[in-house]
Amino acid sequence: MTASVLVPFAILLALLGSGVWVGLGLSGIGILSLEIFRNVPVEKLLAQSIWNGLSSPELLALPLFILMAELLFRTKFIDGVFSALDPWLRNLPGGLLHTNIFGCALFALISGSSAATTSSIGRITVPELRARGYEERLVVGTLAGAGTLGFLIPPSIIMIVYGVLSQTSVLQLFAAGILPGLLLALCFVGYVIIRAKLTPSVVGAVEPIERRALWALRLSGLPRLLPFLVLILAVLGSMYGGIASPTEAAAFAVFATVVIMAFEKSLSVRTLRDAAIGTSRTVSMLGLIIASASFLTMAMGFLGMPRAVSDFVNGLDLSPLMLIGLLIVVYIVLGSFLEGMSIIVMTIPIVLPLVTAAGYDSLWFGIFLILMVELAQISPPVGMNLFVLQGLTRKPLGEIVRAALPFFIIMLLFVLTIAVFPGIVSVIPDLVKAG
Amino acid sequence: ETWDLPLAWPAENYISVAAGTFAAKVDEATDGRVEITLHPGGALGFKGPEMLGAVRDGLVPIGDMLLNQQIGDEPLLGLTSLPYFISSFEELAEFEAYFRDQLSAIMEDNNQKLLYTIPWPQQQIWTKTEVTDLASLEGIKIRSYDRSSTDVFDSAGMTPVQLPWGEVIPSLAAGAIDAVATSSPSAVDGSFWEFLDYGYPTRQTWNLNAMTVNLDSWNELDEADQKAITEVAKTLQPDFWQAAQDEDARNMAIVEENGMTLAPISDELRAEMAKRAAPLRAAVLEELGDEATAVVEGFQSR
Amino acid sequence: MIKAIDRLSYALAQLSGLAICGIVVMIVVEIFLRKFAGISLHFVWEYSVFIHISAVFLGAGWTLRTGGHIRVTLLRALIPRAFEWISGVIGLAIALFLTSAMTQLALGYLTSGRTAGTTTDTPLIIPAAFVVLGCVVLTLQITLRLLALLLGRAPELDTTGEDDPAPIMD
Ligand code: NA
Ligand code: NA
Repeated sequence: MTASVLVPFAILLALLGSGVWVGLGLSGIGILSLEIFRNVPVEKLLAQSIWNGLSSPELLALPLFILMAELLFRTKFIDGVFSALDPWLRNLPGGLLHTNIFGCALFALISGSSAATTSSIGRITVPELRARGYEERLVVGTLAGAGTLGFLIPPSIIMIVYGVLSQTSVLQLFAAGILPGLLLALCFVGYVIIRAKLTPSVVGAVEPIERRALWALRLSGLPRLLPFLVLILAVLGSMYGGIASPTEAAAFAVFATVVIMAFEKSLSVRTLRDAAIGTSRTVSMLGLIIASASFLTMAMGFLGMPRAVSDFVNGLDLSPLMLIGLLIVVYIVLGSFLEGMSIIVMTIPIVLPLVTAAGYDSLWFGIFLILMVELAQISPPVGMNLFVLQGLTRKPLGEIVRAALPFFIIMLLFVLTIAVFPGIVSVIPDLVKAG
Repeated sequence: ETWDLPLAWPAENYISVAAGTFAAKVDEATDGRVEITLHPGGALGFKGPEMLGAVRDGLVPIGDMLLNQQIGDEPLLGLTSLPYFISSFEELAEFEAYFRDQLSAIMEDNNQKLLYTIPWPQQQIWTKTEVTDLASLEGIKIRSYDRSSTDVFDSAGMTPVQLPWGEVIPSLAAGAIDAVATSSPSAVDGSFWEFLDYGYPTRQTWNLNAMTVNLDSWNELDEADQKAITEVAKTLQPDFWQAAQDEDARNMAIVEENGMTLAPISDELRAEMAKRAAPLRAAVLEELGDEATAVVEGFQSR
Repeated sequence: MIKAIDRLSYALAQLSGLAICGIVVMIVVEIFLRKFAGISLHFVWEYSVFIHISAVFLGAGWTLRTGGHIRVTLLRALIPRAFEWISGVIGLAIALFLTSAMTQLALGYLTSGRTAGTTTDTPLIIPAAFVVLGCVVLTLQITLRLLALLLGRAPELDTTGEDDPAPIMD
């Protein structure tokens, strides 16, 4: 049993270290592990699980939001977002770094995916912040941290999956995500402020502007945010106005983006072609990783990996907080090499009973799990948001991991906070229920 | 032998629970020689429509499948989805008995042995408004679960909408759809009372699951173990059918406790809906071919 | 030869991107029809899923050629040439295995005539054929990459095929 847990891990390190493309490498780990330990038709399993992994309707929001990001990048108004936010945020210690956090939190309101949130906001902010001389590490770090809000702030694809699997009300889950999402965003803001106070050099050049001129700038910049607000309204309006389901709302957002582009005359055959190619490249990269990850998950299942973990935990006879502490460690280990959706699917059946027995409810565990998945998104060697950020910045993975580390730790402390104060999760759902 | 059993349903679902009971009894009956490891919640990545092929090709030694999801491979497995063909749970049991041998034969053609069947509770429609006659169904946007139900609701003047389950609750909450067709356990899973007020047992189609084992894996067992396992399956099947009924009753009670109004649909309305769906049924049968027609006619004149 | 395969890869990537635009068109039409005409298009979700799975693979070759697939490059600085060879050969082996697996799946769908069987009668061979085509082109691109290494040429193109590529891949 220990061999069938340790050997795959060794294969993982070797294969990914070899520099093979992650989308293929993850499959390679599963192939080798199964060939070594199990007498199963590996080729057929690979084909079937790749097919199944990608033929999930829940995944469709991802290509839709990627396409939207590609289109947004080619709009004119997106350039104005910075000049619009600049006068509002420049006096805050940390300056425009906060646009990463506020941008992601806002975008999370229309996106159900954290990778799409990271890439959508990052592709706008990274070049701008670079040009203004902000420290690269903090630029990447804030994005890594805040991008994961895509999962925590509703709507959230992964919450829906969890809700269905754990038989928890999805609406209650959505409500439960709001306060933790907000608080986490504030933690990030706080960290940036502290860093900026301690080391002013991390912040790019900010020329002082006289007070009255600043307010003039703030007000005159607002119309430039209008298209962005229209988009958020298009998504929220179509969804909460009873016109579209969450994924359909994503398609509607793309449609609204195209309409805005037509208005500002940035729509052309060339932009469409470029957006199509760009979408194809990102969808292909992420899709291949998701497909491979779903095969790896299946392979782990065959090797009895999840069961080994649960048996181990059950044997320890822990207090509730110790159990949560241990789960955090386990999820960090799992999250280091598995993709978020797989972690949820694999562990719910094992862990949810353990957690409810310890006195937490399935709503709380949902938010806990979402946070653990967010951590997984930014933990090496396999972290979807790390890959997105790597694609975005072309920096070595190690540098991105280091940049994300402080935010990883903040999120970790935040998880401990909600373990000690579960009320943070339940207060809004309780209000919704009462009202 | 250790058999990995993928289950698309959550661990607490009664079908998973039944599979667990079966696994325990098999372990006992074979003195631990056959150990079935459950992988509930779709943990192995199998989703359903590929299960017949997965067991056939030995991707997994044993599998639990929703029969009418397998019509892409074996159209005859969709007979319980024939609109208004089976009218009650009792009739479903009779159909299972009538069709059993043929089902075993189909499974054998697909390199697997049928162990037991377990049904899903009756299908219902869950609505925001009261349903009294056809006019009250007009234009209701209802989430349908497969092709057959889609056609049935269409013929009744409703607007069936295809949505993945994950999209159903938010769509319901926001009003993109006004009704859902599913059985009572799903209604409880989705806390339907938060959005809907009425439940009606329309029973337009039925869902039946089967547990099958790959023949190559099966043939590796000695005769005594085979016989023991067959015996376990045979003994447990009635319990499993009862479990489905109990599950329905339990969930109906929960739904009612939470304030939903449950009512039977009138015989007139059911007759009218069945009449509207008649051409549909004929068309499906035509498509399924003579073999299916023979089964249907044989069953009806039993 | 290399040019021809690059051109094919590029065309397939374009097709895959347009296919995703097609998903948008279908869903938006569905939203409007459902809201204003009380009509729902039942094929939208299933077709969208098939388009997505096809799009992932159709774009894979071009994505590889233009450096879009992510990898861990920790050891590249240490042994640049060997690094490219090792990753290329391992990548080729996995890609071959994958192509063979997906081809067998597709052949199974072809011979059995299996259809989606849920809401539409779409023969599964149609999306599966696109998947196989994508796998073949991906494998070809890895092979060409090794060839380029052998000939001492740059393994990746310095364009992404866009006039103005978004920074996600820069
Ligand atoms: Na979100
Ligand atoms: Na990770």
